[in-house]
Amino acid sequence: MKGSALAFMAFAWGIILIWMYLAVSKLMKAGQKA
Amino acid sequence: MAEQRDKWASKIGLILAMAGNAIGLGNFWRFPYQAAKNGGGAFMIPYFVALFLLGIPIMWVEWVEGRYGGKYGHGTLGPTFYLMSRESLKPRTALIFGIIGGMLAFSVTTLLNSYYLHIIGWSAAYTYFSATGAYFGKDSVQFLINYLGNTGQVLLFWGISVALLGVAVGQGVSKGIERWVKVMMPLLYVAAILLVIRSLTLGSPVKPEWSSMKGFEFLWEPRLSEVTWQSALAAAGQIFFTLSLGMGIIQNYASYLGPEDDVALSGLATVSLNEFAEVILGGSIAIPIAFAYLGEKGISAGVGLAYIALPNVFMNMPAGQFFGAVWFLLLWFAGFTSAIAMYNYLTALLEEDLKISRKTGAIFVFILYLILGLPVALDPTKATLDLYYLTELDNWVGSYLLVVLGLFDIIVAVWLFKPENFWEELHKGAYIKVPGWIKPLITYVAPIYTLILLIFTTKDYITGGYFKAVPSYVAKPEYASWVWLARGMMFLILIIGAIEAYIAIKKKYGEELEKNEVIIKM
Repeated sequence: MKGSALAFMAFAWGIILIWMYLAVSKLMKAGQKA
Repeated sequence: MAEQRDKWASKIGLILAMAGNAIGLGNFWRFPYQAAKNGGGAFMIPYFVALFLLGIPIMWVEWVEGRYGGKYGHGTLGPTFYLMSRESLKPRTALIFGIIGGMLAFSVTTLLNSYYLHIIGWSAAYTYFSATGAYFGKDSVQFLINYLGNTGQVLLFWGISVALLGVAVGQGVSKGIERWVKVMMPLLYVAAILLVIRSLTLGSPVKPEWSSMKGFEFLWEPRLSEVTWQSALAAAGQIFFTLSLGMGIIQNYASYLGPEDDVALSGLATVSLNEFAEVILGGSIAIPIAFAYLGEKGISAGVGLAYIALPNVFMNMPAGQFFGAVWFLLLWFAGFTSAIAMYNYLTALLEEDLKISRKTGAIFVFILYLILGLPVALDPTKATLDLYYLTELDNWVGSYLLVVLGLFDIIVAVWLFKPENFWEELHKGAYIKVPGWIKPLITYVAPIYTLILLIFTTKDYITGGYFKAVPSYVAKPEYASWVWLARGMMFLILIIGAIEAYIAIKKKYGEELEKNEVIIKM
């Protein structure tokens, strides 16, 4: 796999995973507090 | 006062239901073939741009609309659009927008689901065929033709799937839909992760130059110079389809929120879960697996990627029966959790506007889908896999109308409702503060982007011959009557949807329409 493809994929996957983790965990925490 | 409505019982249930609503066949089936058709990496760049400029803003718009309508006891778009439009317009003028919204959402949830349910039925059948190895050693094109030709079998698998949907919807939102998705969504993720692991460990089973890694490379090589208008349009269209935008079903689910429940973070979480399922899971299954066994030619199979190309792969893969069954079960779960939202839209419409009990309504909707779906099962062009009836509906209801409704979403919920009111609604009970620079994105960029998408899609439809009496894709004019049947059905459903929306609004807001003054306000 070419480096540019790997970098683009890692970048996109990373953003999505972090975004999902932050959004869902914050939502769960806020939901528990409520 | 609004009547007591069912509500989501838990935050996790709501988010799984919303994620299930958005995650559908679009993630695992449509996304790979759209990406393959539009140049892989050259598709992914405009895809992410559209996600940011269209997907997230319109998702927020639809959550806000849904919760606002729910406050007044509405889960359907007609009354919701009417209520929001009243902020800028006199009730009689706002009624026009209510009718447009109700008409479009009714048409999409009715007609899109009428053929979507058939594809879910095919997935149920192929789960069974994979587990039993029924298509192994056979020609996969001929096998699909034979299956579609056996109307009894098609209706059997369709019937099992839709009856289960009817049971879930009939049980209600918190006791039915929420409980079902709490089981199905984790199973969907497990099935997808299993297939991703299989895809990553395939190596080069046929030729050294064919491997799943080459498939990943095709999808992720950022070929900026190869981005075309065509790929940008396809990417924006995919964003609408995958996030279930422009259908009225995100609003329907959001209508079961409390008036102070968060929508800002919830909308963002829904998009993130969908993108995880689409980009990370969906992008790591069909394309890499097809590439490893069939090379670049295999991934250009288009719509046939799921039901023709992949069965060819499974019959040659170790433990192919198992992985084939998991793949089609994944499609079934994904389709089911989206179709349930469309099913619920119509059941809510009967319940709220015509006061028909939920259980009876769910039976009516089953019968409606049976009647509207029959032409899909009986269309003689299935013998050549042309499926004119389904194609015509998909071109208009499953693609074009989504963008039209998406545009009206913004016109109504942002412009007519007024941007400051929208912003205030978005932040009511919100767990996050949306940065101020997003506001012009939602107010101006998203509608302009949607309008451009609509103009270019219209232009494409004209040059592609979709407006012709006999569309250009019809190679056998003797079967053009099936295209006309689809068009007649669309016309009829649009009219019924408009009348239904008018009656629903008039019933509750008749007095203010008569006086042309806002009376009911919360």
